[in-house]
Amino acid sequence: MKTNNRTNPFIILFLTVFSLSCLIPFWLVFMVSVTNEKDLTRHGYSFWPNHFDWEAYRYLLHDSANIARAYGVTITVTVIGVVVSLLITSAMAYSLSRTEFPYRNALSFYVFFTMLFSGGLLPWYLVYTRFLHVQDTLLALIIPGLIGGFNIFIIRTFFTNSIPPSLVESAKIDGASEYRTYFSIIIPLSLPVMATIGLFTIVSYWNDWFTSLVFINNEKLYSLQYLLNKTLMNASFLQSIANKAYSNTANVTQPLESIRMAMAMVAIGPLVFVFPFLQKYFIKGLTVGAVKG
Amino acid sequence: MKLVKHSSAVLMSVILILVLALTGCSGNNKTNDEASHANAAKETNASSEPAATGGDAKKLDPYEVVMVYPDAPQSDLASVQTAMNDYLNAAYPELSMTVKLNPIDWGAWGDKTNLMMASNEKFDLFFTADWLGYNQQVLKGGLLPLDDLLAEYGPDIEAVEKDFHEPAKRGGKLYGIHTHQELGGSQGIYLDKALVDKYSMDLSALKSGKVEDLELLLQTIKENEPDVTPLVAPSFPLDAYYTSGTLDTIASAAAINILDTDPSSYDVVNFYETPRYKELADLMYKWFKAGYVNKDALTPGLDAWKKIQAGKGFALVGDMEILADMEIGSVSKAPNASIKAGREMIQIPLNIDRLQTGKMTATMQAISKTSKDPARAMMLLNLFFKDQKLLTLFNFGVEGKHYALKNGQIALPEGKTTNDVGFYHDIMWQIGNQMLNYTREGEDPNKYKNYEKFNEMISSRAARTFGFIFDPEPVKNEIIAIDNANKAFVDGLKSGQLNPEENLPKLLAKQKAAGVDKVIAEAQKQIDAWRAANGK
Amino acid sequence: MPVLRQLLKHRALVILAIPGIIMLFINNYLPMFGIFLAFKDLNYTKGVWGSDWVGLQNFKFLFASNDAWMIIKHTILYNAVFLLINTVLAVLLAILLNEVRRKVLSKFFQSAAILPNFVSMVIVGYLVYGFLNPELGFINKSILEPMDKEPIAWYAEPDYWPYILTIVNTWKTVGYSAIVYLAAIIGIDQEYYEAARIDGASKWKQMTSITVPLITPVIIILTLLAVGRIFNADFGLFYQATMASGMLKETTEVIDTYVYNALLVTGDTGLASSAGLLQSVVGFVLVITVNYVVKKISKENALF
Repeated sequence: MKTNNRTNPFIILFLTVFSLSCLIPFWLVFMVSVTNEKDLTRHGYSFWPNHFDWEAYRYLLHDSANIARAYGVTITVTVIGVVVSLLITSAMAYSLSRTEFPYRNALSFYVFFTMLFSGGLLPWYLVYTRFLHVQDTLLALIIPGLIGGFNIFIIRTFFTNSIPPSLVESAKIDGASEYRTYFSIIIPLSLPVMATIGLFTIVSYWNDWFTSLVFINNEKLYSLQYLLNKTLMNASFLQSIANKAYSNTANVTQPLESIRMAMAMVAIGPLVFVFPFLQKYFIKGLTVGAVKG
Repeated sequence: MKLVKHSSAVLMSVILILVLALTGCSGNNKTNDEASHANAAKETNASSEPAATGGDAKKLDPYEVVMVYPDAPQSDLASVQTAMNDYLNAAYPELSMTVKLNPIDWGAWGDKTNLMMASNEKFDLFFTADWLGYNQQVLKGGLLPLDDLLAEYGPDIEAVEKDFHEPAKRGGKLYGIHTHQELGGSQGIYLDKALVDKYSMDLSALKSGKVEDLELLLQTIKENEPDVTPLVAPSFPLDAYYTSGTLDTIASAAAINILDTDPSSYDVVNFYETPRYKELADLMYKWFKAGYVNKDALTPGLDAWKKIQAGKGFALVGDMEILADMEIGSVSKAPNASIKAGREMIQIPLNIDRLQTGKMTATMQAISKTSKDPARAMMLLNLFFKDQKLLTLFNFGVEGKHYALKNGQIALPEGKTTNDVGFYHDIMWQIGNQMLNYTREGEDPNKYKNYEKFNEMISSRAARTFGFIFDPEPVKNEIIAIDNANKAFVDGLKSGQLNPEENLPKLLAKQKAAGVDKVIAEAQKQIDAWRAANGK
Repeated sequence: MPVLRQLLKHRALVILAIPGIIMLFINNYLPMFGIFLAFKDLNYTKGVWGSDWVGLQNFKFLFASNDAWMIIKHTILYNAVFLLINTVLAVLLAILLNEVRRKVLSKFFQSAAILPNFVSMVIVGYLVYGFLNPELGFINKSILEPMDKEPIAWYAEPDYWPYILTIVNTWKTVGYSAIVYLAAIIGIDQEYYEAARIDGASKWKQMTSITVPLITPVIIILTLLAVGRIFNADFGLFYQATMASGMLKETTEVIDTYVYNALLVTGDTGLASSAGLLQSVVGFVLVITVNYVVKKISKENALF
């Protein structure tokens, strides 16, 4: 087997430029978060501030107990959510991928319909509070992200296209049940797509703040993104109403720009380490060929 | 076959475990939650009991009044609530009433209150305002009419607010009660005192009340101070200064021009078609071209005070502080502005509001339709208009813990800051009789005396349309379309970035296409009907 | 009963699908009664069921503006351009990422590519502002000023924004899609490439005749799903990245921003449900049509 171990330098160059364009804004966010507020007003954003100022982080540290608890909430929700979601989603996708499964078209349509039509905020709220009674629990944060048509269809497509039907057939002949086929043949063969969908699910759980806004009144259960977001939302709301309500008494102070950016850093930070961790499932070799061989 | 059974059993048990784990999880959370909110149990008890009728004053059943209002979260909320309840119990045992404070974050206010109303959650006192959807709340049946309750249980409200209910009426019934406070505002300019002194500027020209007379000062700064923007904004002459000084606004683009028109005239015109609008737009265009105005003025969230603080700005157009002698063109030190700017600022009022319908609906308390005992809610609201102690607890917290009195003013306890005191907010304007409040350290101790005096001036100058309420429903879609047409031009015109010669006609044409004539005709129709009914 | 017998025969597959069916039912189908709200005048006292029917009243505001067609055109055009550019670039990016042999480099590039997706649109808005701020932005201060060019009032000049929004959208989403395609490419059986190399096929040839055809099903699915949302604009992008500047409306107003403003003006939430329903119906009809065509050409690639 002859493998070319050298990558085309143009590809490297292109990807380097692209990666930089993705990374530079992050650098900028970080630098703004440590720029002195007066410098920001005078000179605008810069890639290397004249005066470093960690005030924004000190300000956040002040609230560290709440932030730590919110991290706990978000991590718990994300971990449980991702595991359960991957199980449910891939199991359903597997059924949908099997051509001999009757009504697979009807069921696909059942899934697809939910991607376009939704009842809106109020019915959603009524179902969760009146029927499921999950308001002010972690369940309210977990359930909404458990399943989504998009993920089901992506996984289904992978199952149909990268796993030859013959493999399933031969497993059957060997006496393996559907469950066994699914758990010990299909899943190991689909690690790249599971990692991809897992990543997407992690990101959507991690970034979700709206569910907290709607269902959580107990501030001990606020998710990290909501905790950070609401400061910004409160400020921008107060700003927008300042002249409507009360400019005289409502002393509206915007959070410093650096604090905004520091919040973004705090929120994104841990996510940056998730992908490298998942990347081990992107390794070649765990492919059909390897299994067959 | 065995295998099949085995693995399906495995799968089922996995699912079972997950389900159990999840439900268990929720169970735990629920108990935690209930433990931390001991009051939740109380609430269900109270609401399941038959509502007491407020009429027989002998012995009322205990009732918990839930107050919903927008506020940033306060970490010591529970202790303030307890203190309020202890006080209510001691001072008004005959009312046998407790309160539950249910503040909602500003950013979540719109969504959450809509959902609470639509899902018929039980609550009692509710902050509302025209800019927070008061009309829709009334229209959708979320609020109770208050006329009878007010007559029976609101003597102290009536004592100060009697004359100001008309604007909050919808379909002849009252749904909101205005906070007793200043009845209007004043617009003018703030100037950096150091620069005024440095160039020994003559401010007497501003006695005219015309913002045009600011030009010479701006020019001086432009010529001599290259690093300073003469006029920093996001607030412009074409905002409140224009509106309040020129018009009685009705809705959308419909307004009555009160500048140089016969005081008995009720002709509805287009807000953007008055000569004054054109004058001010031209002025701003000229100033923008000359570089007198900051170019980033339209950035949302831009804080002009920060620019002044950083020494990058000289003048600012905006709402004035209400001081002892409010008079057009009078120069006085502005204490709050000086704090915000971190340097000495002076203020010069250029316009003083007349008594306007809109102002009276800008801050109100209402009672929710889901209240189990509206009478008790009204009794509590009445207390906020009469009882300084209760008001102080709500606004400033517990004495010694959240504030200390220093020379009759509210100060932070020794060694505490606004961040760590546990209870600090500025929402006096949301409820009750503001004039009963303490002032904060650093404020004019006579603040509320000044307000009283200012109110006399304002209420002696009622707008022509005071008391008239426009019903937007017949032209709702036109209003949306007009607003859409405005968006593309209005900000550009008021900030001077767009040339009015070219763009004002474009705006008016777009408004016409969007149905502005229909809105103006509808406004005229409603105004005429109102005049006929009220003998104006 | 034949239905039951069939289901019983495939009960394993049914059982695997049941948790998903239930979750979708709870999350999506139970609240579906809200669709009726689009045709009702919601009254809190009467409740969702008891409120009065108003027919198409709630839909009128969508067409009240004489800009309605412009707004619809913007929504569709932006989405179409985004879809096209995003797909081409994402596939290309995935192929290039797959070519990198050094593990460390490969990890680095992949991680960098999805980073932008983690940033919320509010922050993206501020970053764009950092570049375009009329007084202090990088472009005016560091590029145009040294070149002795007039500074540009970016937030008052609608003409630039189709390009700016396309760049921002591509930057934010391309890495995300590329990862999906990369997962598909990794799944391709190496034997195909071995065979091609033995035949002496060039890299380009391998790409066009193996990689792209084999990931076509994924491209089709992603495209089909995107078509369903062609009437729904990314509100965050069009609202936050433009800093909600009214002067840019001429080129940046889309359905979602229009509806948002209407809500601000009237406070009537009924408007949102009718707009949402209209967007769904259009997307639905489009997807059904496209899916029908796909089905004619290759049955296994269709959605249903």
